[in-house]
Parts: sequence; structure tokens; C-alpha cells
Amino acid sequence: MDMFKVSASGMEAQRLRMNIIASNLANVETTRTANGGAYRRKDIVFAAQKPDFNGLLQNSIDRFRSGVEVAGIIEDQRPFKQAYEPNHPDADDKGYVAYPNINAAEEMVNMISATRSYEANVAAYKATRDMALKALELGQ
Amino acid sequence: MKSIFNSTINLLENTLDLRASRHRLLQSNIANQETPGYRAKDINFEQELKRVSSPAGAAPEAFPGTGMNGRTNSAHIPVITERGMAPRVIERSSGIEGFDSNSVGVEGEMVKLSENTLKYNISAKMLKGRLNMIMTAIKEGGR
Repeated sequence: MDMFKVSASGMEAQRLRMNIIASNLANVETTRTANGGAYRRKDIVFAAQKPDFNGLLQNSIDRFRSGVEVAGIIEDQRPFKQAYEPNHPDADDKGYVAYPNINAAEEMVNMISATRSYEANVAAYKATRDMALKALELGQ
Repeated sequence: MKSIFNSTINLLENTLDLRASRHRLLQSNIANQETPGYRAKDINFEQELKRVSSPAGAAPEAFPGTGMNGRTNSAHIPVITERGMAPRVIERSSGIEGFDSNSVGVEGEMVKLSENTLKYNISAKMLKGRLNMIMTAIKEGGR
């Protein structure tokens, strides 16, 4: 049933966002990555789903209904944090180490926001289920 | 002969359909609460329900009280719109909008969602009551 898919897409998107935040927090001091250099903060971009072919055949309301999808994961282009640590193996010739452009407080706020959004989708899903059950009761 | 499924049942049926449609819109508002540029969507529910429940599904009166239903002369043919489900979807704007021009206020959406669910359940209950009454008439009438 499509009604459940909308809430499911919301939950999926928020869970993916949570993964990105977890990876940012885990790599808060990572100075070596596969691409070379320090870890860059990742961020997620959401987009409203376009109705598919079936959706376009539906009535006028269902054409406006849309789930959410992840349009892409981008890298934050803010500059790295520079710390003077001449003994660090990744220090440059002036003795500065580039640490990831991650602010732990910012990630925490982002995490709370993702949790709440996820919960809102769960609540919407529960309401949908209750309505479907009530409709089923009509046949009893 | 009048059908046993009278207009109350049709009205409740339309109400359930509209509530379910509105539920879907509120749900997609919640799923897209953080999508940049997404506009909150809703149905003009009360007007729509009034329209489908008014006699012959006539369009709402343009000049209330005149009984002319938008006509300038009573000899003109009245505008009768098709009865049934053709609600309009409106884009709602909440007072608080962030820099991403997303107009979803999640608290408001949750309140509307729970209100909508409650009213759906009430309508379903009333419909069940009507059907039970008919069933009683069918079963007990022959005794």
C-alpha cells in the first residue's frame, strides 16, 4: 500500500542521515583518508519524490503526495581546522596538522533533529495503520 | 423505491475518502519536513465536504442568500458541478519559514494528522453504526 510507503521513505531518509552523522562523529579527528588529507564533513541533501507513472494515473490528490528521497551526499567545503602539532606524523613543514572540519556540537544538534524527524514519521505511520484497522472493522 | 443506503451513508463514505486523502497529504508533508523548497500541502476540507454533501452537488453559492447560485437571472441554467471526488489541493504557508523556503511546521502537521485520524475513526464508527442499524432492520423485521 502506497500510504505506508510515504512514511517509510521518510524513515529511511532520516536513518541514512543518522548514518552520515555517526560517520562524521567517528571521524572527528581523522587525518588520513583514501583520498589523502583529513576527513571532510559529509552532509545529506533531501528531495521530494516525483510521482511515478502509477501516481500520475491516480486522482488529483495523489498527484501531490510525495515521499522523500536522498538527492545526494555532499562534502562540506569549509576549511579544515589547523592545529600546531609539530610532532604529529601528518604535520606539514610548518608544523600544522589539518583536522576535519567537524564541529561536534553541530553534529549533535543535527542528530537530535534527525531523531525527532524519524519519530514524526513513525507517528504518521502508526496513525495510518490505525485508520486502516478502523476501515477493516467496518466489515465485521 | 428508496435505496436502503441513504444519503447519510454516502456522506460518511465521502468523508472517509476525503479524510484518507488528506491523511496522505499530511503524511508527505511530514516525510518532506526537511526537503529544501518543499511547500506544505492540504485540502480545503470543510468547503469540499459541504460541496459533496449539498443537494445535487451544486457549486457553493457565489452570492449567498440570493438563492441564485451565481446566476444573474433565475431563467438562466444553474451551474451544476459533477458530484463526487474532485477536491482541490492547496499549498499552505506557515508563519515560520527557514532559509530553505520549506513551509512545513512539523508540530502543526502532527496536530492536524492526529485530528484527521480521530475524525476518520469517528466517521468509520458512525458508518458502522448505520450499517448495524440496517442489519438490525433486516434481521429483526421478519420476526
